[in-house]
Amino acid sequence: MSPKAWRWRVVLLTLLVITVLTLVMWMADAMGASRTLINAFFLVASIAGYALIGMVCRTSNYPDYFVAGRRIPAPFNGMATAADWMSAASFIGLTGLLLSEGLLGNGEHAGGMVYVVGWTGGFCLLAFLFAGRLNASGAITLPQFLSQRFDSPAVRVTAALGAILCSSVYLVAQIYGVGLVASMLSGLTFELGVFMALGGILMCSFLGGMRAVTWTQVVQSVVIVVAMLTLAVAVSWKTQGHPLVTLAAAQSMQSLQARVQVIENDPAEHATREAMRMRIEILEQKIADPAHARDLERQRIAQQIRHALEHELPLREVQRLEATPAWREPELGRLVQLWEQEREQLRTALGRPVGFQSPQVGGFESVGWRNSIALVLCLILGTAALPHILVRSYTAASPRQAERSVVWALFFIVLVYLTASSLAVLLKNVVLSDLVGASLQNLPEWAQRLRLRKLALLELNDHNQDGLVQFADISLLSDYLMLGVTEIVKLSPVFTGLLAAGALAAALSTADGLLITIANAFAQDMYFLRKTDETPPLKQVMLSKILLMVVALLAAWVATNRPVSILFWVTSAFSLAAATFFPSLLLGLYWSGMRAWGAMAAMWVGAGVSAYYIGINFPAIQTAFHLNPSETLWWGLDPVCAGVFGVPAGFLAAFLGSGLQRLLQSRL
Amino acid sequence: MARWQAPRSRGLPLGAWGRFGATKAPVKKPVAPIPSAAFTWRTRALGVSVALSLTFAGLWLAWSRPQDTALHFWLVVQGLPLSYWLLLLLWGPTSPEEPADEP
Repeated sequence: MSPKAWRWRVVLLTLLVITVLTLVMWMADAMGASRTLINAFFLVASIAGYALIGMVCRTSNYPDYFVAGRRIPAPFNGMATAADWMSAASFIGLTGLLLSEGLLGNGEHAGGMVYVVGWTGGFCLLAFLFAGRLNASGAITLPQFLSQRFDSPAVRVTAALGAILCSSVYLVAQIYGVGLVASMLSGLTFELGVFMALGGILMCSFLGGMRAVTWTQVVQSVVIVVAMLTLAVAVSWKTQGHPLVTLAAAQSMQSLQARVQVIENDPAEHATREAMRMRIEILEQKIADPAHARDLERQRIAQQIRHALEHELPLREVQRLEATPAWREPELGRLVQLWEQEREQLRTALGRPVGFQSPQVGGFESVGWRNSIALVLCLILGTAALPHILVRSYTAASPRQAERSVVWALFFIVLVYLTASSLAVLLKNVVLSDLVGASLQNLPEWAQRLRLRKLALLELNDHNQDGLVQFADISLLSDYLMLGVTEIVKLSPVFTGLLAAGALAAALSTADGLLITIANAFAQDMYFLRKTDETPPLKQVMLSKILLMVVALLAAWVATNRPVSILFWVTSAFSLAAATFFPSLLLGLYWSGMRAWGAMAAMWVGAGVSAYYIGINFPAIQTAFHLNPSETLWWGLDPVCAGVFGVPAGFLAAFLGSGLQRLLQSRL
Repeated sequence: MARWQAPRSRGLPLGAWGRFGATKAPVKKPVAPIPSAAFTWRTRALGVSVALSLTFAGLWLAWSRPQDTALHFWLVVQGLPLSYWLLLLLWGPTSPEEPADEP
């Protein structure tokens, strides 16, 4: 076999294995195998396959472990970058985000369009500005490159801390996503799902470092693309009768827009929205005088319970009354929090567009426009400055190969994103035509299934009590809606298994890349800072491996505490990466006046400003310090847009720090 | 031909605190200068400008016609990612090919 041919054979073999497994599972389904068994098989087979690659690629060789020997050709490095980049948030979350939040958002927050544009546009900056030059530096980590450029270990330690911060935020969200996918699709508990996934991650990265991670990611990218395309083709076939996904989206768009007009002009929809507005007003009155409101509500509930007991109503009715927050919640503060949560949920539901556009979008002076511009900037700059993506520049054979690999990476990412957005149109059409207007007593089968899941993907609240589902009554769990696609469109459970394999590949590949970035930052950039020359390479590799395991266990432990929202943390990681690294990298590469003090100031100030903005707007911190959300937002910008403040602050700090150092140099 | 090299600062003459010590790359491959003609940085700057202009033009167009779903979907959600990829494909790799030190 020629030295080059085996790489393509790995890709072909992956395609063959996926096809064979899918056919085997198809037969198992026909013979009556359960949905859970099929999903579990796909999950276990994927993890076993990745672990096998990890074992085959095991190494303790220094350049192989840290930079995959710097000889990965552009197409494969591109595939690995794409898998590294496509996280659970983009594979599972993007379709649901576009479907539920619309394209432009609700006039206050950014919609799904910004994510698609920001997450792909950033690759242009990466290819044009950074990839080639980072490859030419011959470094093994981003902090090492910066320390070489500024001849300063202090810069290296600062950059290592920055890389650990950004990557940890991202890593916890990924492991959380893996746990959820594994538990939702295989019937395992969430904690067991997390630790099963952790085993898969460690088998790849622990044994073979960057070499194993790279080849696992190549295979994972094939799994992600095949899973997404197969699912979309199946949905297209089922809904429009042909496999051309984009054409099917175009056909659905016409009927979707007609259906949206009917729903928006439906008096029952107006009545539901009016009932929701009235409920918001009542909640606001309760929040304004909570003690009085609680007493009144408790008196009312006590009366109802007495009435229920006197008339011997079913016990379920009494239990329902006793479960009312005002009755069961002893702490007034907690009760107010629950009322506030309900109010926010109602507001969000009211702002959600029926089609893909909310009537409240507003113009260029609206907060929604500012949020969209700010977020797209954060996502573009963040994509170009994420440490675990930048490190992929080092694994390519030459600067040109590093740049070409970005082109390949973007090809696979665009393929998945275009499919995901078409899928959103197809699914929205099904939801609007099947569910809106249905009787609550006679819901479509898929809606019942999604409602009864352990983690319910669908909630229905009959706000106007007419017994029918209106659009405003529907609440979809958009982050994970993708996992219910096969039920919504009535596809074979085999597609759920494929989807599970794709989602797992997306989360595992990103988690692998992040884990190795964090472990190397600790080991190479902090521990072996001054001792790389005198320490044997084997010892450096072994310490990196041990740290990798410690970091993985820590991240899994944090993930089992269930962080709020995957998308929130992932987007925050982009903002943090943009603010921490973009100014110092750009000026470091293209401005000869940049100095070590400037680089350190840029990283500290950028990360500090962004972390502060995310922190003061975090609900738990606001509650602890009695902060008012309307006062902590700057120009109404969402916390995930923190990078828009951090990046300019970082540039300013870089100019000031470098100027100060140059001034001192000239004086001394 | 002029060879571009990442600029290196000299550090302050304040001993360890001025230079924060010195580091060496553990891998033997040297910090390689990129042999590139002067036009490459202009090409890069132009490429970045085109990408950012496309982004803001797309968003501006979308927000100037906020209810036009078809325009948003085809031109921005599907069109922009494709145009980024085409931009990189046609204009992307600006660094010259340089063999790696090790096979």
